[in-house]
Amino acid sequence: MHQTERYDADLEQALRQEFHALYGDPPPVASTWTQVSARLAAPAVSPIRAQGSVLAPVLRVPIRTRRRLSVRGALALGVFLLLVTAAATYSASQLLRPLLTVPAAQGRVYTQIHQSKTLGGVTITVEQAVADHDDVIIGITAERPCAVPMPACGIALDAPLLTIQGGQAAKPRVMESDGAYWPGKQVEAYVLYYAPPKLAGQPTSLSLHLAVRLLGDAAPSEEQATFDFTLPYSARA
Amino acid sequence: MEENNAIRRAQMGDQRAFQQIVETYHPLVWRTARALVGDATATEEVVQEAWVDVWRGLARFQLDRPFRPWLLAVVANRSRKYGQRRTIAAEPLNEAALDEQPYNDDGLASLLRLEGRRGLVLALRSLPAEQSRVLALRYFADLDLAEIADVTGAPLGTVKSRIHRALNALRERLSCGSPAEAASDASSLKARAE
Repeated sequence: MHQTERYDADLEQALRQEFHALYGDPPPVASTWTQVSARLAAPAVSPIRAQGSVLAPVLRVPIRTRRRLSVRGALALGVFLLLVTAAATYSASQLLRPLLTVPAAQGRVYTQIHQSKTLGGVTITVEQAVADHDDVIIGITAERPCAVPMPACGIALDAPLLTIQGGQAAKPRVMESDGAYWPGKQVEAYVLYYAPPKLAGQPTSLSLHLAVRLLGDAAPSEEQATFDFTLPYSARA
Repeated sequence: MEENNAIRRAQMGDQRAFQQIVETYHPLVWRTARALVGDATATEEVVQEAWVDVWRGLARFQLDRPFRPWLLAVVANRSRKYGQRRTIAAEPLNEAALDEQPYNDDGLASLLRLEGRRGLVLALRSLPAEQSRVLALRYFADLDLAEIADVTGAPLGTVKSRIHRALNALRERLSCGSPAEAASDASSLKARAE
């Protein structure tokens, strides 16, 4: 082997060793799996067969006799109705609220927007936003109806693009998120932090255009939902 | 085939099948996240979130496509989201660890190995972040160049040139200008592991 080639091979081997020393080994997979499995939304469920009602898996209970059926069936129905009622009272904004209590988002006067659009079966709502000399902060939620928690319930948003006063579209500097499966639906909440606008003069309001896309497989989909709204603006520190 | 069966079952909600996938790809996912995130304590969080993303997105995965690139893209997306949420502080160089002798203790050879290691660590630290990241993805996560291009979002040509420039910079910094000395330095680094 030529000396240079041998040197390259030695250097590459040394790099492998050094990165291994610097970064270490992966932890045992068992500990990772324990954490991951606790965060997965669903126990294993059978696929919904043809002709089956989407309600059927929820109502499936071990039933032995007709007499027990009436007691257990009533209990199951009662629990189901309770869950459905509870689901109706769940609001995705409940997930959003804690994200807005972080120091970076606190202490601002948000404008309530409440614009909703549906994209790929997901209802995306721009809930509230604020714009000042530090940031433009936008809180959005996303919901997808899902009778039973399954991988297909998942929602993945690409970093939404924001255009301020017709300027250049920008991605958020920071994107905080949280998600949960509630009875009947998967919900996600996002707080997006954008750089403040660089504007001539001192406008008292800003017109904003937000474009949201879902992540399909590993790349954003072509389809998007757009939102246009106006925010009061304070440029002073 | 067996992997496709596991994926298919996981798509239907079978967590045991998903566990098989996690166990198979855990080292790859962890190493890739570690190389991208650069923060030891955050890597496990990113890895867990990435697996949850995989679980949620698995229904959209098409079985006639290779799984590994899709998985790496999910990991890259999650790592990117983490990077957007945090300012990644550069890990301090652990001078004390470099002063230890983790290798065998045979006097001069060990000292040469230690000095070589210190030189390589310092040389790595001096590289631009993008170059050190592609090196970590190549030599720690063992990704090929196309995969590095996918997870970093850079064109393949850019990845190649970053690796080329990074290796050139390391050679230059490690050597004292002499190819023979440079070869000796690199060989001494390799020898420490044997």
